[in-house]
Amino acid sequence: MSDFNPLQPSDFDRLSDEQLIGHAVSAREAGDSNQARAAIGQLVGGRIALVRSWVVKSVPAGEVDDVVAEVFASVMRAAFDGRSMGEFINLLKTITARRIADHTRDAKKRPKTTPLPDGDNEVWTEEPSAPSEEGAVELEDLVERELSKLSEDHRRVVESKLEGHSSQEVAGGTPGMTAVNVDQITSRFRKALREALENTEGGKMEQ
Amino acid sequence: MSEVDRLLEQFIAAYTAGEEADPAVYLGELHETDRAELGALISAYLERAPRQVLKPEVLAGSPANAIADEILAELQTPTWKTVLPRARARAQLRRDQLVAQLAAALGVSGQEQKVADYYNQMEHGRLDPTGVSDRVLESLSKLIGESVEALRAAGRPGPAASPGTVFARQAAPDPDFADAGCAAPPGMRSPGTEGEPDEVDRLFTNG
Repeated sequence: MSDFNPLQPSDFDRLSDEQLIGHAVSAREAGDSNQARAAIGQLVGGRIALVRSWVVKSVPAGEVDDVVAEVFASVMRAAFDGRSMGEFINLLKTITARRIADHTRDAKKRPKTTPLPDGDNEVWTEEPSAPSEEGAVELEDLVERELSKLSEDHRRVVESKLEGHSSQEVAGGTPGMTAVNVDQITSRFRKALREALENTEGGKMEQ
Repeated sequence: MSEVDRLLEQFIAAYTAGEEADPAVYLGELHETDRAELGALISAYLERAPRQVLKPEVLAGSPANAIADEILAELQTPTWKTVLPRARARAQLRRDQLVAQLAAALGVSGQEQKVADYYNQMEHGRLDPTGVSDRVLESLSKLIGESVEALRAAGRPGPAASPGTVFARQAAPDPDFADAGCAAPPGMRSPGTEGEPDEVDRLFTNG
């Protein structure tokens, strides 16, 4: 007898990404397609912005959703094959980098084709101009690289700002820190990040 | 407030409100370093943010919904109907282009129409997979970049998809190819062919 317990969609919100994937796998094994579908939908809907934010840096606009779909399909294939998920965001980042690299490689191999006639409803966009392989990860590493140069206190301040907190909130949670201090630290970080972006090939994003 | 900060703030507001938050929309308003900086900041925010809980009506209209349908369909029943059109689209080959290359690879150039009839039956799940030879699958594998094993597995009959399943990215039937009805059993030649079975018939129906 199966131990699977169906959940209300509203219950999905309190599950971590890893737990949500586990629930989708359990649902499928229990033959509950509706629960599996709902859990997958919640996961994809909840993380699609993140994956898009990585993919859009390296892939032409018309091809972003294809790569994004491949990323989530790869993640779920791995989950349903019983492979370990580990820390989900890191896994997602790794898989996204690979799918971007696949896409870039395939685009280079792809023969130039003539536009499709109206009768064939599959339409493709231009090939990428010159996307850097795994460029999304390069860009992310710049943020981490600049963060790693900061003292522990300043790093915490910038991390809090990156999480979307206001300067007042950050200052309130940091003894001896004022909102002006927070703004100054954040401003220096942003200046360093811009300089790093200007000096990096990865800073040239797909337009 | 800089444009980068204004757009980042708008993006975070949409994300936390459960609205569609597509980074590309916000990045599209900027160029060069500003664009790269906003991209880096959006990714850094999303990596640290909780999974987004999209409003139900937003999720229903989101590409995430179609992606989730496609993932479940593929996990449940990868078939030639789903695998072949998708792989062909990835390879950016029109059906007539693929057929011409397949005929050449099989050494039956000049019989493209007959190869097209059989290939069309494969894409529509109407050809008995046990009759399709390894040579055909190996040639297709090279042309569309899907492994022989995956093609063979997708040809095997599997459990029916759930009633709610939508094959979101399946190619629509091509009017250039007439619907020949039910699956042709092994040994049965392509509709409209006369006389003794030839090499093309053997390749697609004799296994």
